[in-house]
Order: sequence, then C-alpha cells, then structure tokens
Amino acid sequence: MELQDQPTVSSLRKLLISAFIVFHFGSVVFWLIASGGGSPAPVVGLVAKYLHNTAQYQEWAMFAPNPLQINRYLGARVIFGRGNLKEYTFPRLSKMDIFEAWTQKRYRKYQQRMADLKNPAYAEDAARWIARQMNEPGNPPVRVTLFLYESPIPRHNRPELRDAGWVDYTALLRHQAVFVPTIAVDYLVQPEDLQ
Amino acid sequence: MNRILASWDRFFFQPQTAKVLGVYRIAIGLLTLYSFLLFAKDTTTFFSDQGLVTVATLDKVVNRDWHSLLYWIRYPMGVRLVLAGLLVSGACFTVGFYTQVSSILLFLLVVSFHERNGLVLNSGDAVLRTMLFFSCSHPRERPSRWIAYGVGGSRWLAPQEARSWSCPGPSG
Repeated sequence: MELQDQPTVSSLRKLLISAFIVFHFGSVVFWLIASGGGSPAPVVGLVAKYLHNTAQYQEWAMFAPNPLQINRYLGARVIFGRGNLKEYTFPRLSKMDIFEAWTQKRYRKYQQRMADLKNPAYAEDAARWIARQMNEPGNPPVRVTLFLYESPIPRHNRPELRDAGWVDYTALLRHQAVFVPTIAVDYLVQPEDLQ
Repeated sequence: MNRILASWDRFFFQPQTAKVLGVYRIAIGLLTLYSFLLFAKDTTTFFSDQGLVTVATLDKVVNRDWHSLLYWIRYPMGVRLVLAGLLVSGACFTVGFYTQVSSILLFLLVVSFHERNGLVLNSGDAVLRTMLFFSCSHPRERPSRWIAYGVGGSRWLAPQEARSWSCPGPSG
C-alpha cells in the first residue's frame, strides 16, 4: 500500500487524537512542574490519578537540585542459631570489573533507593531475604542486623585536592573511602521467614 | 493560528514513510528485550515474594494506584513464566508479529514488572515505559502479512505501519 493509497483520517478522529495528545503531554508537564510543589491539590490529584493508572508518571531527580554526594551500600551481620556470625554485603559495583558491574547495576539502584527511603518495612523484607540466602541446614539464622554504610564523596574543588594536582579518584573513592555504618534494622528471624 | 493548526495536522496526520516507525519499533523492542534479559538472572530476587520486596510490604508502603500482574503472581516460578511471556511478546513486537496485540501485551507486562518493584528502576525504565505506551497505537496486522515481512528482512519496515497515531489500520 503506497502512501497516497492510505485511508484518510476523519476530522472526528483527528480531534480525538489531538485532544489526547494535548491532555497527555499537558499532564506530564504539569506533573513534572507540580512535583516541585505549589500546585492546587485537586488538579494534581486528577493528573496523578491518570499518570499512575497508566504508569506514565516520571521522576527526574538524579542531577538536580542536589546531586548525590555520598557513596552508599547495604550490608548485614547475621547471627546463627549455634552462635556463629557471618557478614553479608549486597553486590558493590566498585568491587567489580565493568562487565560484572553492568549485570549487577540494579543492585546498586536498590541500595541507593533503600538508603533514600529508610523505610523499616522494606528493610525487614531485605533482612528476611538475607536470612533465606544465608540459611544453613541445622543452623538457621536467628538475627539479621542490616547496616547502611555511607562515605562522603570528596568535592572535586576542595583546596587540598585542587592543589595536589593529579588526583587518583579511583583510589580516593574505592580504596581510601571510610564508610560509617548505621543500623537500618535489627531483625529477629522467625522460622516462617525461612520458608 | 491557521499555520499552527496546519503544522499540527502535517506533523501528526500527514502520511509518512513507515520505515522510520519500523526502525523505531525494532529499536524499542530490542531495548526492552535487552533490559529484561539483564533482569533475568535476578527475576525472582527482585520481583517475587521470595525476593527483596513482598507484595504485603508494597500494600503497606505504596500509597498510590498501581497495577501489576505480579500482584497476583507472587511465587518464583510464576514470575519466571511471566518474564518468559514478556520476552516472547517482546520478540513478536520486534519482528512485527501481531504488532498491535504484542505491543499492548508487552506494555502491560513491562508495567507489571516496573510497578512490582520500583526500587530497582532508573529513569531509563520510565522512558521505556513511555515509548511502549505510545507503541500501543500500532495498527493491527494480519499474520499472513507478518510472514511476508519475515521473508525479506527489509519488509519488516512495511508501509502498512505508517502513521501509528492516525492510521485506521491496513485495509488490504
């Protein structure tokens, strides 16, 4: 079928399609502006209803207003029934080669979001999952303490770095970084958690 | 004003070569397949109730409307099967097999995964979701047509796909 042979579009169809385009893109733009605050709540509610129910909501907060200045990861201390203790760490991209990191990058996102949200319900789910991963026959985990480890990213324009000339950021961020732990959740494992 | 309306009409409704839309469809299809093949090894960790986030927790934490097939399918094997369905529908979409049906199915399955665990998503996933949403307006195609497309690779970019916004679908 050549272009000139294609059926023409009726005016009503054009009108409906145009209305949808305007509504949809208007909603997205409004949503992005409103997410900064200051918009009338009922209108936000209507737009939010549409965008959530069609899964067309968007969030763009990576680069502004404040880019993340902390390196973070999640780890856990697991205590077993016999009293022994093991450490668990979620995959850390900085400890991997580029190909492994490429396949594991979703874990980084997960840890970042967990650190952002600091939600106990998510943290308990993570603790239960770790307990299942670490479970040993006849020696089940009884307690999982989930830690959030944080280390500030040195500003690139700090005087001591600027004056030093060449700065090895790989060493600075990967090997010399000092991570400080805080407890995300201290969870007592129940037998049904290991099912 | 008339010029604006005429430009609008030309942009959205004037027949265009289908090759661009075909390339676009193939690119989105490949991106979707790539994205979910990377998810494959961690599917049950990220998207099942045996994984990092349970539906019960989402019920408590998420205070907005969300829809996911994985709200009802929670066990690892079921989640793996849904992923397999997504990959099949993604492959169909990419090659243009039942494009309209496969595009809608693909969108619904992608949304199901994205809504099930937003903690592992990034902005690229939102872009993918948006592109698939608009791809749902692909015109219907008959299977016999797909066979014709399949015979010669270049015919995947067939003119019947022109004007996804406005085309009532191929009539002959």
